[in-house]
Amino acid sequence: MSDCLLAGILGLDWRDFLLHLLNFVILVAIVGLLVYKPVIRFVRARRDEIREQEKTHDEKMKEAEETKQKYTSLIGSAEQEIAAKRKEADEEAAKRAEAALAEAKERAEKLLAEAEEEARQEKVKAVAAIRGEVAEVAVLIASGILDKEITPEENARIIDDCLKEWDENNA
Amino acid sequence: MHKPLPTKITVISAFELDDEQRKKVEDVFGRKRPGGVVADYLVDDSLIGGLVVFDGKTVYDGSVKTKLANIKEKLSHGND
Amino acid sequence: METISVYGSIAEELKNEVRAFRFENKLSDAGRIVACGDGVLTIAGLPNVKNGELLYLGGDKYALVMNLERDRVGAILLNDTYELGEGDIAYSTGKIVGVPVGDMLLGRVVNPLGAPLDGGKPIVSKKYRPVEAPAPAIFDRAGVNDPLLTGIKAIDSMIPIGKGQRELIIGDRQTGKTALAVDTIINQRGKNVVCVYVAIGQKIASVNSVIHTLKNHGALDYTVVVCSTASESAPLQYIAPYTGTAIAEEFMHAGRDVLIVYDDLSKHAVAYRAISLLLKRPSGREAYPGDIFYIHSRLLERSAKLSEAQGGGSLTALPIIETLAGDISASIPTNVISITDGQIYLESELFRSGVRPAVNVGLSVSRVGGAAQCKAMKKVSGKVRLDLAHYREMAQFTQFGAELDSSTKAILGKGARLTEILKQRQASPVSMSHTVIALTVMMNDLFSDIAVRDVNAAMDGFFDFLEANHPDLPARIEETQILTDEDEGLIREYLSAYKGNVARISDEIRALQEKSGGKA
Repeated sequence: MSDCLLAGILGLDWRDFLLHLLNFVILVAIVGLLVYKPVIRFVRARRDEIREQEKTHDEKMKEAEETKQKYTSLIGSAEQEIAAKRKEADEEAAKRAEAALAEAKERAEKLLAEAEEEARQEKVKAVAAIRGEVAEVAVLIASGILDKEITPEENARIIDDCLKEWDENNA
Repeated sequence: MHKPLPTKITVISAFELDDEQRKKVEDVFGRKRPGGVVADYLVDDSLIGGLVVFDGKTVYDGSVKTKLANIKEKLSHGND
Repeated sequence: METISVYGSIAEELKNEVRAFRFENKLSDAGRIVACGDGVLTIAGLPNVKNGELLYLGGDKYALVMNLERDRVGAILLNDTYELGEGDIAYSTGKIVGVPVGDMLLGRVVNPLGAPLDGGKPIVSKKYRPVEAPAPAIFDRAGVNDPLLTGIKAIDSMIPIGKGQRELIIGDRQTGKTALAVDTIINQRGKNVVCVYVAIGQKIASVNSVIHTLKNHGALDYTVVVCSTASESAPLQYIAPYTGTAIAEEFMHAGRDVLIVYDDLSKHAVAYRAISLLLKRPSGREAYPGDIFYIHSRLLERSAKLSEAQGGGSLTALPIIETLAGDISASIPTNVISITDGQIYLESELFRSGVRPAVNVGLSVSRVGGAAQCKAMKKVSGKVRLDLAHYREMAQFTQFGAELDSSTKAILGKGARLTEILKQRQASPVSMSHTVIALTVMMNDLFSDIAVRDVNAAMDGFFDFLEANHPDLPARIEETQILTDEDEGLIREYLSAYKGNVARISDEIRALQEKSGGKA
């Protein structure tokens, strides 16, 4: 009855069904052997790859973190250097200001001495100038007077004196 | 033998010279010059007095103007 | 109260002098002008006048006696005047042309007769020197052994000038001759050297520009400028260099070191030629008169180094000659080259191709040479000339586009960099230690890794580095004037530190740029 049921339902008889089952088992076994291993290998490889990538990513993150720290510290030390140099420059400037002040005072004293000397020399020059001008005025007056006052007789006397002198000196 | 040529002289005076004075000048200057002198007389009243004679080589300056200039020079730079 | 007594005493003095005065008649040698024109007078009379004597023509007109004949005297007018005529009297003064001399001339600009040209007070001096004077005798001289630093690397290293030497600056127009002389004057600041700049026949604008340059660099305080520009009469241009020399001699005989620049003697010769032709003297080569050599030889022989007994002063002369189309075999250049102790030859070809100062090292020479160099300079500059000569030889081969072996390439590289480092900006004098250090670097080829066109910038950076971190090294070289082997080692060390700095900074910059460029 069961055979007839099976046969009726599936259109097979129980021998064909067993054969199909066997077929199926053999197929699965073959396919499993052929396909299972590579597939598992592939899956495993993929899992390893993903693990690798995760590890690399971690390393790179760590590296970036390190680089950032390095530059931060560099900037820090640079800022320290700048601060130190600034302090140095300030001290230098203070020293230079002091030196400049001392120099200015010295120069002022020298200028004063020079001014005194110059004033004295100016006086000497002024005296000489006055002397020259007095002489000029005197001569101007004299020539004015002589111009008006020389008479032909006096002129004749001057001429005679000249001629006498030149004659004596073998003109 | 030719007589040597007379020397030309220029005589400048403050007042015009009369004949007597001219003769005196020509005598004095002609004494040492063979051939005598021929004088050219000019008047320049800026000389004030006296006379200036130029014989082509030497100037004989007896003018009052020059004497005044000399004394002025001496007084102005007496200390130099 | 004091003023009145001053006047009183003056009046007393004058009265005494007047009383003591003897009125005399004045006798003066004189002559009559027979012909005058073009600034030349022909005078009859003046029987006892001497050559070079000054004649007085009334007013403030003077003339200089140049020709003596049996019954005629030829004289040249010293001031331009139209007020003289035939028949006027010319008086003999018995004196040779002279100029006022002394410290009051420093910082002034004067004409060849000593009159001021800078609008300042008249020059008043107790001392006058005749412009013509005999040169120092042989036994009054000492050897030249003190350097006169020009502040120009090419010259101080290879064509060194000593105090008491005559070094000619010769070249075509616009090659930097005046600039070289002016730079030398500027470099004498703080070195206690008096400078005299004589401008002969120059353009007024050029002289003005020189005076401004000197003033801006603080050099006018120790310089005297004697100026006779192109618009002045030929006699004044003729006298100008002798005036300058007389002024300089006063300082020299007082024991000072003096530098005199004659800018330029070609125009001086032209002025003298004009005078001689007007005096109807026979003309020779290029229409110059027969004594054209003598006017320059007697001028330049007055530059010397005096012995200790004579005060130890010195007068260094830098005459300038302008050539036409580089012809140094013309009459005047050959004359002056044979008189001076060497020449600095400036080439317009070099000038145009950017080598400034345009010194042709091969043709330039200093006959005093190493005797006028300090030990440090002698040590580094010994081979510079040779290397440059090799470079010039090899440089011709590069034109063929030929394949070059490594040693030739090395010579070419070194020579190109040497030429580059010897270029210098105008009015930027450089100290002795600076030149020594720069040449040490170049001669040891320590810049071979730097491109030729960056050499000067790199050298400037190195000097900044030295000034900031090791200023004792240049100061030591400057003071001791010796370059020890340790110092040489130090230079190498500092240089690699400097290069390291530069490399480090440029690497970091590049890295930062890449990072930011990548992320962005």
